[in-house]
Amino acid sequence: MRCRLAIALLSASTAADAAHAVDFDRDVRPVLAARCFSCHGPDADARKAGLRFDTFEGATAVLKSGNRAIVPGDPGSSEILRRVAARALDDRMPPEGHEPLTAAEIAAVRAWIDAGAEFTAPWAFRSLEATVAPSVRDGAWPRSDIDRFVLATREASGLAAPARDIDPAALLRRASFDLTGLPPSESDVRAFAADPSDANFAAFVDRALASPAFGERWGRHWLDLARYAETLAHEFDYEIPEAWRYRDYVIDAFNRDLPPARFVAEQIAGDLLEPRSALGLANAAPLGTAYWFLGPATHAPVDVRLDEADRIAGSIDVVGRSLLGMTIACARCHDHKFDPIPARDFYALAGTLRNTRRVETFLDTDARAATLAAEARTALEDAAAVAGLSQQIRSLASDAAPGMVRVDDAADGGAAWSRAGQAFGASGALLACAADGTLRLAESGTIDSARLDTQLVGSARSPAFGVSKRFLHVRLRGASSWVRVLIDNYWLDANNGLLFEGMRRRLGDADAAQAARDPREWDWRVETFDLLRFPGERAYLELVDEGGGWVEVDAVLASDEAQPPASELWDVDGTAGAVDLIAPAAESARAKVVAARDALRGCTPPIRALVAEDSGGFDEPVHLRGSPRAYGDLVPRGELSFLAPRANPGIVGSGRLRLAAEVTSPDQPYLWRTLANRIWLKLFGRGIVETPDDFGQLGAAPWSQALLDHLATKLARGATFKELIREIVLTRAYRAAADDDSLPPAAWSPLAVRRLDAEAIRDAMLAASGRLDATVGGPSVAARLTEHMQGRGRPGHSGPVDGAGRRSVYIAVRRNFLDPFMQAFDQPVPATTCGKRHTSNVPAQALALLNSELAHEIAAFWGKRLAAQSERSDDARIESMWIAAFARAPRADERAAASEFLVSERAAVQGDADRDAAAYAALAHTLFSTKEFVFLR
Amino acid sequence: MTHHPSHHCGRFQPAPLTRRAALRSIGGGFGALAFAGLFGRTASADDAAAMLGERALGANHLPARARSVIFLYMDGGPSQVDTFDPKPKLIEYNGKPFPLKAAPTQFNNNGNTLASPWKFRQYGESGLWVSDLFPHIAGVADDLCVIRSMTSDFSEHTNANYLLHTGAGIPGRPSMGAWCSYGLGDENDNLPGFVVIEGGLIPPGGLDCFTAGFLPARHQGSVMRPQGQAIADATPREALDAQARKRQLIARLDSAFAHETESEAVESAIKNHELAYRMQAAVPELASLDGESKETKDLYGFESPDPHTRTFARECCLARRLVERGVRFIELTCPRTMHDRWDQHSDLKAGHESNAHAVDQPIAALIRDLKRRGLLESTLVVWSAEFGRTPFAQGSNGRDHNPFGFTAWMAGGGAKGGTVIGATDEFGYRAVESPYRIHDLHATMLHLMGVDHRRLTFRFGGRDMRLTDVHGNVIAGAIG
Repeated sequence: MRCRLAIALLSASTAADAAHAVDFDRDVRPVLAARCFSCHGPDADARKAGLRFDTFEGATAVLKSGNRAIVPGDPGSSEILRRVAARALDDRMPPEGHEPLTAAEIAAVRAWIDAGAEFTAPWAFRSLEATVAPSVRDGAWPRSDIDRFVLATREASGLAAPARDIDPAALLRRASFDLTGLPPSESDVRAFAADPSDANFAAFVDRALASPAFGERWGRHWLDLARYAETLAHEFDYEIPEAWRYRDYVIDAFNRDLPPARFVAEQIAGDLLEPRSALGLANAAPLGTAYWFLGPATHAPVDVRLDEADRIAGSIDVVGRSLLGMTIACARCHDHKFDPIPARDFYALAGTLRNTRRVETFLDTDARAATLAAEARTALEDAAAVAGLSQQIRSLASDAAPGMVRVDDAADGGAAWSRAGQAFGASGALLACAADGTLRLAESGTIDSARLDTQLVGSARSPAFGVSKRFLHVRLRGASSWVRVLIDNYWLDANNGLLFEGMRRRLGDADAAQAARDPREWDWRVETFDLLRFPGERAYLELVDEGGGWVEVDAVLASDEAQPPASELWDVDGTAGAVDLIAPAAESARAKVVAARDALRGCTPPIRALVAEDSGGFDEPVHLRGSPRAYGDLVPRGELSFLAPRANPGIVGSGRLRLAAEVTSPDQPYLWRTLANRIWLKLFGRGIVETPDDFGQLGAAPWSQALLDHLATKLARGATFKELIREIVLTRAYRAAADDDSLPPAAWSPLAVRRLDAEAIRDAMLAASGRLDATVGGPSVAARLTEHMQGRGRPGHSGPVDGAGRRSVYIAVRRNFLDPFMQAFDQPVPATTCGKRHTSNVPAQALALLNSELAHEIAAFWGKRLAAQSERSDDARIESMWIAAFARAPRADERAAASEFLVSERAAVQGDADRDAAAYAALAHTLFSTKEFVFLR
Repeated sequence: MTHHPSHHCGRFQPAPLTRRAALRSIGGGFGALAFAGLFGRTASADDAAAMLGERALGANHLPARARSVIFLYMDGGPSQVDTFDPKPKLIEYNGKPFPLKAAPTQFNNNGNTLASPWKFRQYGESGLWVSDLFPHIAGVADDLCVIRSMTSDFSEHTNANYLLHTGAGIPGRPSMGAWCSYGLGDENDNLPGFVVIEGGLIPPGGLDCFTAGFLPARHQGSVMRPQGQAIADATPREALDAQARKRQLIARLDSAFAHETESEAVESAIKNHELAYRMQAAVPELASLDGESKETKDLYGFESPDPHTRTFARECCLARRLVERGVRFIELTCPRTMHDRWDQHSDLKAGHESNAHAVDQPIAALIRDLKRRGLLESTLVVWSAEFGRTPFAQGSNGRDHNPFGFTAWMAGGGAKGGTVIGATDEFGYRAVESPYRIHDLHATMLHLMGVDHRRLTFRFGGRDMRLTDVHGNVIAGAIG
């Protein structure tokens, strides 16, 4: 009886709400997701009673009880409505311990069932829908399609266009910080004040977009997504080598306006794409892939497989949220609770990452190097042909040695090995070039960094293999180079050998007698690696020749014996040794080899860089409950169910290349919507979707999907970042002044007054004071360490207080020693993707401006500079200061107040100190602490 | 200046709620689950909105037993079998091969069974066992609730430390102090809600152990040093009159800007600026221990011949002063003794003795001092490391990391004194009776603070994140 009464009451409210039609996306799915999905949603393992509310089929199926949870068009027969309204706690849903649904929520579900219970895909999973700009009543306000979209959202709520625009000075300052992260110059301020025309504004915008500062500003936005840092956190906060090159790469990409599809594809698979020359490199594209490896990491994991799984989960979180707006990492232990992302998707990406290794590679700076190396190799082969040499067939040692496994014999010159630099380029050639330019018979079938020259640098890595035997025996020779076994892509043994002792070995320097002998005359030896603690793990072998040394590997065997196999079992070709076979007829080929070698020696050396590389091609199983020791079904790697399910994916290698193509496909909505939203968010402070890294069920829905899709479609069709940013900055919307009205959430509202972010505040101090060093790129400036920044891994050297005047983006980001000034102003902790920073407003910020050595030092610099301009009046200098700090001239009362302040400061100076410098420094410091300095109107 | 931000701005730009406006919109009578503290009385609206959401969840909050937490972080991992978990079997097997199967260890250099070099005795009415390493703490045995069955998920310091501090074995998640500050706010305008008193050792894992992670930055642990400048940037770098002149001009310029912009964000930044001056005054008053009586100083060990005892004595006394001033969560890190942290991979005897000597008297004094001031019942003192140590030797005379069973204890704040909870096996290697995880410890701490750990959440990365992740059960036996 009570139950019926409740339903009757609810029916009444249903009637009241019937005035506005129920919207599944807006009114119903969020209720089902938040209140029902955790037991009746996409996660099959957690599903109760076989009932799911995320699909039409699941929600309308006949249940064990014979009832149906939802009967379309028939609320009275829909079990869900009885259960959510039940008074008895053991009958009610959601069950005891959870809040019951509100009357309004129940009414919405009822109205939706009554209307037919139609399911639609969640908004983010629908294709892009390009619509023409809506017509608006107020035709005078809009300047562009974008304006019509935003105005339409207001008119739909019965609101007019914003009443006024901000004043020109505020507009210039806003655009300058938004585009470059720096204040406008004094000449820009004066010119725009004199003629604040649209043409002048557009010209300013174009200059800002063309300035290197644009990339420094927008590159930093990207670095927030990539959880950019230069150290690994954990115990010793080890450095991420060459991390700064990724930062420079990103800044350069934004400055040269790399097409978004290309830029994102380079993050995923830049090493596998067509080469692209930039940053003084023959191919800069691989630099993008450091994106995968900027997360934290620890040394000496007791469980190396778990450690790898944790690192992979961190990377999946980043790629999912930054590029797709999807929280794929939530599906590590189970299917996603709220979004249609099965655990299989997580392990599809995990498979991709297990087949992707993090390498500190060599990238050529000299565009000729690759060609010259290829020419040299061809000439070596020509010479061999002239000499009548042919590839010899070797018998396999495993044939003769029971219990042995031939892991790799490099018989084809290591064709399956990856290589970087030019040292290993001639591996497999039957002849080698000696230091004196003579050609010598080489050991056939090896991977070798000395075929052409011992001076070249390079690295080579074997395909990944499973550890099936305890010992790994590597037959090799060489000097002054590295040989290393990596387990489950664990690399921190280079920083700290604990638990991985002996996995990374240096081949010693040659003594004088050895050095005099040609490499072909050296004896072979065997390095044995004990893999006792790593049965079943995946491993690979890495050879690094940093120049001046060499290494040659003949074969790799695995066995359960610590003793390496006898030498006769290794190789039967018997051709090792020095025999100069070259007939005069081969002289021209020899001359070509030597010429190419000598030219290679003259090339600029390659750089080291942190990049991704494919290591194998195997699928990963689902890890049951997230445990890397409990396996479910194999999942085709790289195949995300919501992107492009294929029956026969035919994926090569890690699958990154395919993933890059699918993510950046113009037919997929995810990337374009996330990017368009991120640009809008950075320019307007509020995203069209307010949860920029989560477009799923727990995130927000767009307040205008039409606008979002309008912008996303532009990007999908090839618009660049600069083009879209320019278009938005030139809208009427961008210059509209904030409303006083209380707007409904679905209506656009103009930019409110907002605080500058951490980098912009520090950079504005440098720019205003004249201390700014506008140098673009290069290794980071050392972080300034205060006495409160302690702990293991603290660098021995603290950087300059003012960061040598460099922009904030160039100050080293050390995870365990984050800059307290930046932290106070909400620079994100680089743990994972952060698409929207907090904008806190706390006393620590005032303290940082009042008492930090940074604020005082920059103010002192500014003071000195102004004091030196003694030919200028106080008033003229005050005016310059106002323009530098606020992008406007001072008002009369401000001039007077500042002038009085200077007088009293001069009077307060004690002793011999420079009165002018001290007074101006005090005024400069005062301006830094004003709210106008840190806020944008 | 009085315009009230529209609700859509809640997730838009700063448009912060002033404290006044926030109090108005919350309605009266919010008690323990207050708005955030110093670094947040005047929170911006996006943060305030999140907090208001928390308050709604907090409507069902439990009666709070503790107002503050003092977390005594025993860096490196004291050995359970040498402190609070006596194991006579180890004497029997001393020097013999360890009879149980040992899991892989951090240093992979396992030796024979190693008996404790210290005698255990029973203390107090409860007869609690304490080793001779802690003669002073033994004197407050009846206040301790000793959990002998703690476990961790990791054998590495840093993963285990991140787990202990943040509930996840990776860097970047909010620290337990940040969660308390976020959830419970602060009772003092002039001090942070989460203070770390740094005795010389920042834990492995670094300042990341004290991060606010994805929570608003104001909840981050403020590092305080017992000597020198107590809190960064809280001390003026100029004469007070020079600062006062600037203050006057700033106020004048700000007032015009606030008038022009009519922005709540600007208004609130101006108030924070004024608050900052008050903090400058409050911090030196707090940090000065000169006003403490000689008797109190002697109780803590201010004049101990051991410099590390003196350091920790000041830390403990400062912790009490922070509790008195309403700071929500205080963590103490260990002094840097001759033997570094409690991480005795070798030379167990000398290392544990020097570490124990540094903290024993100050900790006992802290408990006694809190008690006699009537503060112990509302202050939860927690003593824990990231893990314990192996009952077998590393090398000949050290012990390796052991996450499978170790001891933590609580005192005051509603914890049940004179109690032992759980047990390890007869060698003290693995927790076998009522094993507890770090999440359970966190759940229990929050429970005593009046918070249901399942309901203290922050939406981030597509999930409602918690200190206890998806785990955690309150350790019922620990509740007094």
